[in-house]
Formats: sequence, C-alpha cells, structure tokens
Amino acid sequence: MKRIDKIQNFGRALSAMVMPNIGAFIAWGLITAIFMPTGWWPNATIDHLREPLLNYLLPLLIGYTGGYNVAGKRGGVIGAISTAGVVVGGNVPMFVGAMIMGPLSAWIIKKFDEKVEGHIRPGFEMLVDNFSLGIIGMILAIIGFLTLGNTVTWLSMWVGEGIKWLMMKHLLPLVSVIIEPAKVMFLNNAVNHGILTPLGVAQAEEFGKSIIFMLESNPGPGFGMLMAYWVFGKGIEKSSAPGAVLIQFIGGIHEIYYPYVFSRPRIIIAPICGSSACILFLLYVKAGLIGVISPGSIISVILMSPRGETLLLVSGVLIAAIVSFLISAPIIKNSSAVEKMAENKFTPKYKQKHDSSVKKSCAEIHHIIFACDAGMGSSALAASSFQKRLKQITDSVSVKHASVSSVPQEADVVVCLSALVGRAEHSAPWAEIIPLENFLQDPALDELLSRFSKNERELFSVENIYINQKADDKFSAIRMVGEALVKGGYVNRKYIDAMIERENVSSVYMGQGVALPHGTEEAKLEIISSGIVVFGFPQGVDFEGEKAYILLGVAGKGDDHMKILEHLGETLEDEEKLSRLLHATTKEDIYEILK
Amino acid sequence: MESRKITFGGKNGLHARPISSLVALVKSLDSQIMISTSKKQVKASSAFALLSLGITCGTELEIVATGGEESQNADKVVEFFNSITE
Repeated sequence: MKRIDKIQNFGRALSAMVMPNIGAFIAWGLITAIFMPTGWWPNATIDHLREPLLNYLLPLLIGYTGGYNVAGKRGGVIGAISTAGVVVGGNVPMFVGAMIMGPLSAWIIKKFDEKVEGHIRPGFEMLVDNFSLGIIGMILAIIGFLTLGNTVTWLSMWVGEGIKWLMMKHLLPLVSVIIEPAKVMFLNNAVNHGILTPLGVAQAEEFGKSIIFMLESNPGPGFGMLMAYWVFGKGIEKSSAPGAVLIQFIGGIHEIYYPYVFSRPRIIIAPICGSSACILFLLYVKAGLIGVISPGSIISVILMSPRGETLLLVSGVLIAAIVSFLISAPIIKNSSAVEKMAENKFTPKYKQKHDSSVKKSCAEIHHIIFACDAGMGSSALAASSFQKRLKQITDSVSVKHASVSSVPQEADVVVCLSALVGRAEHSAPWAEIIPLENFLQDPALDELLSRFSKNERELFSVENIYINQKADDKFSAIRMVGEALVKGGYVNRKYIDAMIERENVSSVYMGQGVALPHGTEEAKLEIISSGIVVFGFPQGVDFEGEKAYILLGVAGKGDDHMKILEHLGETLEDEEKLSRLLHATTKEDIYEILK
Repeated sequence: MESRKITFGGKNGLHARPISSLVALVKSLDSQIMISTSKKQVKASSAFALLSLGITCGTELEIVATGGEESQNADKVVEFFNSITE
C-alpha cells in the first residue's frame, strides 16, 4: 500500500470511532444551543443534561465504537469500561482518551480470546467469557483512571493552549493551508472527526462556542468554487456543477467537489483563501459554533449557531464562498489547456491498470458497492442515484454503500473515486474495481449500466464461437458450453446444472453430428438474455455411441427458445449448410453459416 | 397414403426433447412419415427439419404416412402428438 493510503486508513480508523456517533453529538449540540443560559430558550432544568451527555455519553460512545471496530461487541464493551476509567480520571471531555483506550483494550481482549480459544472446557464458555472481560476491563479501567486520565487532561490542555495561542496571534487562518489540501486527499473525516471535533468540543465546553468546528466543515469554500465552475466551466464540468452545488452546500457532502479540484490542481488555492478569509472574519467578530457541523451543510451551520450569531456565521460562510469564487474564476477561464493535461495526468494511471483487471459480466454481478472514505456521505448519494437508474433495467442486483476500508465480502464490483482505488484494491482484492472521476456523471457508470441492458448484448457473435475444443465426455462438453453462456452474460451459473439435468432427462443429441445443449423449462428463470454459443469438437463427443462434432448451446428467454430452435432447424435441415458447418475450420466460416 | 389432421397442444411448443422422441418413433416405423404445417412439409425423420417448422401450441399439423402399415403408423404418430401436453 502506498503511504497516502496508509495515512487515509489511519485517519479512517480515527473518524470511524466518531462518525457513527455524530447523531449523539448533534443531540448534545441542540440541547446546548437551545437550553443553555444564553440559548434560544434557556431552561436550567433541561440544561442539566448537557454536562453528563458531554462528559460521559459521548466519550463512552466513542470508546465503545472504537472497541467495536476492533473486536466486535466484546471489544465495544471493554472499550467502554476502560474509557469510563479515563473519563473519571480526568477533568476534560475525554475524547482522546476514549480514542486510545477503546481500540487498545479491544485489541487486548481480542488477543486474550484468541489465546484461550479451544482451551475452554465445554460448559464453561460463558463463565470464562464474562469473567475474562470483567477482570481485564477492571484492570484497564483502573490503569486508565490512574494514569491516562491525567495525561490526557494535561495533553488536551496543552493542545487547547496551542490553539488559543494560534487564535491570539491571528495565525489560525493559516491552518487552512494544511486542512484544504488534506481534505481533497480524502483525509477530510480524519481531520475533522479524528482531530478537530474533540478539540472543538473541549473548547465549546470552556467558552460556550468554538471556531474549530468551522475549520474543516465550512461549506463556503467548496460552494464558491463549484459556482465558479457553473458560471465559467465548460462541457461536463459546467453541466454537472449545479447538481454538485446542491449536494455540497445543502446536503453537506463535500467529497463531491474534490474531482473538480483534481481536474485543475492549482485551483486548491481558492478554497484555502476562502476558508482563511472566513476564519479571519469569525475571529474578528468573535463568533463560533456550539457543536459539530456534520454533514458540512449550510443547514447544520444555522442549527449550530449560538443565538444572535446566526447572521455572523452565515456571513462567514458567504465570505468564504465569495473569496473562493473570485479566485476560482480566472483559474477556470484561463486553463482549458492545462485542464486537458491534468486530466491526462490523473486518469490514465488508473484506467490502464483497470483495463487489465477482469471485467465482470452482468451474470457475475449481484452486489455493487459504492465506496468512499467513511461510507456514509458521497457513496450513499452515488449508490442511491445509480440504483434508480439500474432499477429501470433489473431488480436482481443490490447496490449498497460502504467505507472503502471495509468493503463487505459479497461485493462483486466496487465503485469509488479514482483517488481511492489503492485502498479499494487492498480491502477487496476479489472484486472488480471501477474508478470514477465524478460520482454523478461518469462514462464508467454508463458502461457498468450498459452491461445490464439487454439491447447491448447480441444473440450471437463471432466471440460466441469456440473451435478445436476437446472434452472427455458429453457432460464435461455440456459444462464447457454452459460456462461460455455464463461468460457471455446470457445466463446465471445455475443454468449449467439445468443443462446437465436436461441431458439426463433425454439426450440433446439431435442427429447428424449435432447436439443442442440447453437447460430445462424451469431453468428459464436463470436466463438473463437469449443467446447462442457454438463449440466445435473435431474429435467428436460421445453421445451414447453417436458422435457430436458441433454443440450449439441455446439459452432462449420466453418465446425466443422456440424461435432460436426454428431458425437453427431451418439452417441445419439444409444438407449443404450442415456439411459446411461440420467441416468449417474458422470461427468466421461458422459465423457466416449460422448468422 | 394415410393422412391425419391435428392441432398441436403442447404448451411449450414442439421443442428439442419431444422431437428426439418423435424421430426415434418415426425411424422405428415402416412407413415414410411427412409432417406439414401451413408453412411447409418436411420429413419427420429429420430433427432439424422438424425444428424448422417452429411448431407451437395451437399450430395445425397434417401427418401423412406412405408405404407399409400406413393407417396404423399414422395413428401411432397422432397418438404421440396427443400425448404431448407440456
């Protein structure tokens, strides 16, 4: 794996502890925004919820999830136990502690379970399971309480001081120089939820709000750049921009704009400046957000604004958008030549590699997985829009979304942005990987779709002809014919068994050196679209004493079956054509006779 | 020469499996059997020729037996066709 893939995977591990719990962060954020003393609707009683949610619920959830990701439910439980130790031992919201203790303690219990597996006396499993977790959990909670609690408190304070120093010296806008490029390298979730969210929450606890939530999630910079593409772009960039704007600015899925950055790498300067401008403005007016903005949508920004500051924060977002737009515009206008270069630079690397990998036929594709970094945002969007298109053709294929680091076993095809191909290949080596440049409009998606559309596949072509074949007996010959039908995308694999079954009922040998292997009537359901394959066996295949030299594999959907047989009958009835077929030596000759 | 007219009742048409059986039957008879539809007339001893008729459910057929036990053989072929229901 390349280094960037490794960094992305580490970042993914961090953000994967936080992201499933974003809903809890939002609950906490809303309670804070609404009921705190300076909130929209102050209520001292309900406000009591705030601290326990922040100090206990959120770290425990992170600890549980961090453990769960390593070792399943047992990992989750022990992760929560040991996180509890750290939580009580420190006096800041213990997110960092949870992110260390959760996975670490889960790893310990996993190693323990592996050690004792198979050595437990039957009947004692539950006793060992419960007490091992309880005892190890106890020890880890105590260790966490005595050591890590203080260390993390000290560490958090130190980092918090560092950020305060950056803010005081007005240097915070400079972090955009790191954050914006990191974002488009698909480190967005890692940076935001792995690093910034815990810091922001700690700061919000201290001051009631934090600017840190805005550093990565600000929808303004991407919005401005996409608007510039909409106004000044050409071709597919222009036509796809409006949809992308909606998804990015309202839906809060920022991944949608990364490909627009890749197509002109130097345009990254636009979101950097936009984001910096916004931070500078917010520092100047001393505005901040109450809670996590996730997804990074303008709606989240409005909901997480403290009372009386909504206008300031929306202005901040708009400032970012305007600056980003103004800088993007000339770059887009003056760089059509550069763009072509960039396109050539970016795409062929993956495309070439991809061409050599095996392209699966529609018969082999049952599960399509759209993958992105977290498996929650852009992949979900792309999967649902692709599913809509696919549904018009077939219902038998499932389309789901997942993180590119944890592609489910059943995936036959993985679709992801080309920058993530390396990680996809690593986590799903068995699957066909389809790289995209754009999640919504990409020729690769059309190609994938076309594999399922019937009109694209011809009933018969030269590629369906196999000459100079050899088989030990009629069943292996029929299996070869069946495999060819599967490969051609005409039938599902089960059809092959039905062809064997059909041969057992009565022979498909039709006389005069020709056999017509096909499936049973019931197996018609396994036919995807009608097709014919031809196999030539120069030495003949034995069918109960008679020899077949030509096997014509038939898969006819519905009435097609009889039509195909009728057509073949018409051809083969002609003695002259039959003899030419039996003596043909090239695929082209056979094709001429049968077409 | 004996001739019989029937309407084919096999739900799935006269496909490869019954054709194989029919050819086997016809070859065992001492008459020459011809089968015709509105399309054309073919020898019932050739599987491919029978396939080319494209006989489906409801197709009207004429069976003609020449030579040997004409009447008896024609009836046997009719009986065979009537036995095909699926």
